[in-house]
This record gives sequence, structure tokens and C-alpha cells, in this order.
Amino acid sequence: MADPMEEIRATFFEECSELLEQLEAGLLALEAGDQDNDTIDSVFRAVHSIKGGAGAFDLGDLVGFAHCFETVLDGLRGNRLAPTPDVVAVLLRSSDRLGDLVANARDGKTDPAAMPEDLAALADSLTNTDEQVGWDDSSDLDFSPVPIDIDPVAETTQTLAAPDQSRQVSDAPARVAFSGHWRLTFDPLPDLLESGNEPLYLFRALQVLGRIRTEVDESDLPPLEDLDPKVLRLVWTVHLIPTADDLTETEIASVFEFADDLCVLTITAEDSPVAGQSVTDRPAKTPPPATALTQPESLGARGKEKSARSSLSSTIRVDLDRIDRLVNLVGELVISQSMLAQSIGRDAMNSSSASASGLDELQQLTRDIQDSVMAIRAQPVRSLFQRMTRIVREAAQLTEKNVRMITDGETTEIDKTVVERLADPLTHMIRNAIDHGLESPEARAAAGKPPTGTVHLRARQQSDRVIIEVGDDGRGIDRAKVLKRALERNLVPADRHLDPYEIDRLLFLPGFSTNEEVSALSGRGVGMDVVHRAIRDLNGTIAISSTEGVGCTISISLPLTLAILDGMIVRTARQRMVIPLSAIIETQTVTAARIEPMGAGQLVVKLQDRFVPLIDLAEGMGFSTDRDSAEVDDDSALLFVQPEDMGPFALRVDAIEAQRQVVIKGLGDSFGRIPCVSAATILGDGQVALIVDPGGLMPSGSRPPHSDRFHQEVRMQ
Amino acid sequence: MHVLAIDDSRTIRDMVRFTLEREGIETSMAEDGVHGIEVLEAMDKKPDAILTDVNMPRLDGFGFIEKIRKNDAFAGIPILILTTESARELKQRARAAGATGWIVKPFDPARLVVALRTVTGLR
Repeated sequence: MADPMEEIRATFFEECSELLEQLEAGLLALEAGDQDNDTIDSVFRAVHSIKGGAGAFDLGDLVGFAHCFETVLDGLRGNRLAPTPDVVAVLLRSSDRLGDLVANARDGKTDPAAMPEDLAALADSLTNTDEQVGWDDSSDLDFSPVPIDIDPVAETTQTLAAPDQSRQVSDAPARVAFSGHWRLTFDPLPDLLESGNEPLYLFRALQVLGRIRTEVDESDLPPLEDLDPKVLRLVWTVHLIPTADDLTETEIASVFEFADDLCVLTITAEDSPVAGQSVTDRPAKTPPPATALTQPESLGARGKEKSARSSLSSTIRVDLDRIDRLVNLVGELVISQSMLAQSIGRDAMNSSSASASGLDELQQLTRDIQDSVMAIRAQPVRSLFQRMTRIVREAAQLTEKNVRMITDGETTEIDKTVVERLADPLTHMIRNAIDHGLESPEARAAAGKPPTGTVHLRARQQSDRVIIEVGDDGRGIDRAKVLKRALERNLVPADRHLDPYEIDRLLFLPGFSTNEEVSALSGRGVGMDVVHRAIRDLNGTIAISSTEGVGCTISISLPLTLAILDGMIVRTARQRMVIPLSAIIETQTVTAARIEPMGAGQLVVKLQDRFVPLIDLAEGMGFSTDRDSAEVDDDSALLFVQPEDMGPFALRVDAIEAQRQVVIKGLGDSFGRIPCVSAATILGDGQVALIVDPGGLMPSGSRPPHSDRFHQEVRMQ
Repeated sequence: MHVLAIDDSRTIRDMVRFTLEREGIETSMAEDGVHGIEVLEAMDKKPDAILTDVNMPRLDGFGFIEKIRKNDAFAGIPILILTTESARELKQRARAAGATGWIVKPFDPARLVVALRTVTGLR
């Protein structure tokens, strides 16, 4: 970004999202009864900072709203307003609105919607007549230079003095040419120096306007032994010959802007030249007490060795692109390392040799670097969960249900990309839970449940995966209804018996969700299948568990990172491919397996107590094979896989080569979406291998014979 | 000239830094009053001026100034308050705390620079 202001603007919006999170967290704490000053202060500061930044970018809508919001929060801070549940509810809605306005400002949109009435009303109730709500930066600011009307020709004297005297503010008219000089008398209060104002500097600032000569009246100075260098007892007279003819008294007075309540200043226009000595352009001479104070060389502070730099900040902000580049490079490093190991022939090496131990060390280091780089991208799910509180609020409001959200495991970390791409699926799941899962307060009461429903949002890490659950204590899935609808839509054949687990999973089928029940929330034609697909795109799996009348929980299991995969490298049709380890439940040699034909061209194989379909990986992937699929080859093996969203099946491959961590490489846009391939990788010998998505292997055509995934599983009971 | 700017808003810090450095004014930054004191104490050479926000966590602008003014090591450093507050009593509070002057946010960059030059006597 070339334009520094654009960069600062970007910083502002980044900061706004953090502040909005802080605001929301604070308000939720308030709602939960945590009403201490720190909480209220942090909430106030968040809004205040947004207002401050918005002002810098001239974002009027945002400033106006933030100002009104701030007024109300200031009322809380000053105990003029109690944080009752009603008030906090208004504040929460307002924080949502503030978020919208920030987003609008960021996207350059304007929003005609007015200030929410409830917030405006609260602000009004806190504002008495002499304070005004609304942003008006000319209001009430006592900082304008003091304009004094004087007759430019006649000699006039105006005194600027008396702290807090009321002043008129007017636009000083342009002056006519002025050929004389100005005489100033500057009589500071004794404590001027304590404010950090320094006469010497003020005179220097005057020198910018013209040449000056100063005279000091030291008659008020006490004898030396009583002299206090911090107390000013001097009066100056300054003659100023302006460089520009049109210098106004306002401009002169503005030099003394910060000292005007600490001095008696008179500015007099004199049309005669300066009498007596010629005016010099040397710096004004100032008396020793003042100079002595200007550079208080302190020795005491020198002893401290603490570095300013180190205390500045413990975090730095890095462009995500840079991290992605680093992640990619580390991926390459992992590949090179494994290529190196392979070409040297690590396995054949004497394990105690120097090269072998060097290679081991390299491998360990590579892995450590990889972990560290992945950790950079990791982010706690907290911000994601916080965003969901708004969804809960809105959904509760729209459905007129009482909902309480409980979150757990907010510090669980997950890849940043994953966090971002989880927002939509989670939103949908939560809306579903509230809309379809939770009952109305009356129905809950009738069922003997507390009137307020609970939505649970939990995250936890389980080895190399993160589990995120959305649970509710509502009515659970009405399986009879689900089955009925699936039958109506021909999603399952009428003669199929489905167990409860299978019925629940019908919810994830494309086309299950309908537009028929358009509710204000979830029935927008977007079904759980969309959630399902989004999770699968993240290499995640989704599971559902429901108990009728008690509630429903949907859990998502996601890999910690999108960059590395534990895979099984297999060979088939002279190709090498990678099957994700997470999908594999068992492997068998073909010779040991019990394969039986079933129907036309379909083979099944026994897995424990049941038969599951057998698919030849090469055929499934569309490679031509010249062997009979029933033929048994000594090397060939069966991988029993069970993608989370379907029953198990077996994959036949020519050989299993190795189990290895591989770096996931996207296929690139030109390939489009290939159903049974999720990505590619580069193997240790430099060859490219495809990573298979077993879930996509189930063909929709002739083989296996049923179109529905749930029919893949053939039960033998 | 070297200015220490204290503000809890990264946006404002960035703007101040941009504004001042464009004018050749060196800047150090701190995120709140406590941090400001830490940075100040760690500096070998005191800054020529300090610019501070009012509303900040841990130690606000007024509290910061009061602490600085009580410490002889920092005597005489001009301190400008940078604030969005438009309350009437601001000026008195600033004065009571020992501030040298005040600049209202959103600030006019030229005005900020002029004010800093005035209170420091430096170009």
C-alpha cells in the first residue's frame, strides 16, 4: 500500500473489530452481572476509541452514533444510569449497530437507518439542556484563538487574562496593511512554569512572526537567597516587527494559546516604529531561572537500563500474506527434507553414521519449524464465539424465544483461515438450533423445562483435531418427521430401514431442507447440506447426536491446520495417491479378505460382522485398469474407509507404500472441483500425488447400484 | 525534536506518528499511562514534548501527567493533551493536572505540529 493514510485507515478498521469484540465482551460481562468499574471503563473506552478514530477519517455517521453511545456509557460510568437488564439489552443492540456502521464505513456504504430510538432516548435522558448530543466539533471547545477586534489605526489595548472569562468567538476579519509594530506585555502567573509552558519558547514562537526585542522587568525578583527557580517573578515587554504586513492580533495571541489563563497578556498595536534601540533578530534574552529549568538534566533516570523498545509491545502485526508465504516455504522445506532423506537412502544407512544422525536432526528441526509456523497462524476461537452471541441475540429476538448462550473452550486455537470459514456454518447451525431446536417458552414450561433455552457452544482440542460443538436443550430431532420428509423427496427408498443415526444424517442431504417452511430465520432454502459442504471443504467432518425431548448436538471435527495431512500413500494403476489417515479404519490384504459378488458388477467385502461395498480405487478415480476386478493379486490391499458422513466401504489398491505426513498443495483454480480429489502433494521423490477424498468416490451412477449414500452399507443381519 | 505520544488507539498512534515524522519529528509511542512512564524512564534522553490521550486503561492521561509532574526527573517537559473530549471542565482538569496545553481530536495536523513547536521552542 503506497498511501500511508490508506494504511492507517486499514489499521483503524482492524482496530475497530478488536474494539467491537472488547465492547461486546464487556457488555456480556455486564449482562452477566459483572458490573465493576473496570468493565464499564473498558466498554466506554472501546466506543470512545472508535469515535476518536472515526473522527480522524471524517466518518460522520459513525462518529455521531458512537458519540450518542458514549454519552449513555458515560452515564453508566458516572452512576447516573444503572445497568439494568433493559439498559444492557439496548447497549448490546447498539453494539451490533455500531458494528454495522463500522462495516458500512469500511465498505464505503451509507446507511440511511437512523439512530435506534432506545439508545437515543437513553442518551437524551442523560443529557441536560446545556450539553448536546451529537457530534459537533465546534461546540463548546474553548480552544479557538481569541480574536480581538481592534481598530487597526488607533492604538488599542486589549487584555487577555482572567482564566475562564467568557469570550465571544467570531471570525477575525482580515486586516488591512499594518505598518507599525506590536508591543506585548507578558506578565505570567508565578506558577506558569509548572504547567510546562516556557516563556523562552513562547518568544521563540513569536520570532516566527517577525523580529522581536524583549525587555525584562525584574523588579519583583526576591533576593537571591529567597529565589525559587520554579516561581516566575518576571514581566516581559516584547516588541514585535511582523514579517508580514497582515499579521493579526489573533495570530499573535495564538502563540500564547496554552498560557492564556496563566498570564496577563496585553497586545498593543503601535503604528510608530520601535523607539530607541534597533530591534534585533537574536533570540530573546530570557532570565536565568527560566533557562535553568528548560533542560533539567537528570542523572537519576540514567541508571535505569530498561530498554524502551522492549517494553513497547510484546506483539507485532504481520500481514497474513507474509505468513502464508512462510507456510508455503516451510512446506517446501518439508518436501525437500524428505526428498533428501529418500535420495540418500536413509533407511539403508548405518543408523549411527554422522549423515544419518544429521538427517534425523534435520527432520526433527523441520518438524519443529513446521509446528512453529503453524502456531503463528493459530487463533483462539474466542472472536468467532463472540460473534455468535450476536447471532443468538438476533435469533432469539426474531423467534421470540428466551435463549441463553454458554460458551466453553474459547481459548482453543485453530488455523486463522478455518476460524474465518467457520463463521457461516456456525451461524447457520446456531440459527437452526434456536429456530428448530428450542421450543417456545410455553412449550418448554409444558415439558417441565426452564423457560429459557440454552445453546451451548464448545471448542476443544483432541490430538491433532479441534472439535466444535453446537448443542441445544430443545426438543431434539423429530425422526418420524425427518424420515417422512426424506421419503416424500425420494431421498430414501420406501423399503429401506434406517437406524436413528442414519435418519439424523438425512438432515445433511442436499435437497432435504426446503423452502416450504420459510421462517424468519433458517428456512431460507439453505440447509444443513451447505454447512456440511463447508465443513468438508475444510477437511472436517460433522456428526449429529440427538435425543428426542432432550436436545441435539452437532459436532464438527476439524484438522488443526489446512496445510499438513497424515496420509497413507498407496499405489494403484501405476499412480501413487494419498488417502487421509483420518478416513481409514482398517487395512487388510486382499487375500485375507472375504470378497463376494453382489448384484451386477458389485462386490462386497466383509468387515467385522457386516458386508460393505468394495470399490477399486483406480476405477473409482476413472483410471483404466486392464484387470478383472475380482482377480486377486498378492500385493493388493483393501483399505476400509469411513468418511464421517457415510457408512464404511472398502477401497482396493495395488499396494500400500507408506504412512507419511504430506504437505497439502491446492490444485489451482484451473482444475475446478474434482469430486474425489481434495488436493495434491509432492512426495519425497519429487513426484506429484493426488490426495483422495474418499467421500467423493461414491459414484452417483450405475455402480454401486443405489443412488443414496446410505445405501452403500449392506447389512447382513 | 523528539515527541513521546501516548494513546491506547493504534489508529491515533499511527496518525500521530505519520503526522510528526513527515515533519521530521522523531516519535516514540506508548499505549497507556503506565506504559508511558515505563518508556519515559527507559529513555536515555528525555523527549522534548509529550502528547497524551486522556481515556486510557490502567492510567489515564490526567493521572499520567500528575505522576510526571511529581517527578523532578521529568520537570519542565511540555505535555499536550490530545483528546476528543469537549467538556467544558476539560481545560481546568488539564490545568489542574499540570498539562501544558491541549489539542482536540480529530486533530488538524498542521495545528498539532505548530503547537508542539511552540511549546518546545524547537523547529
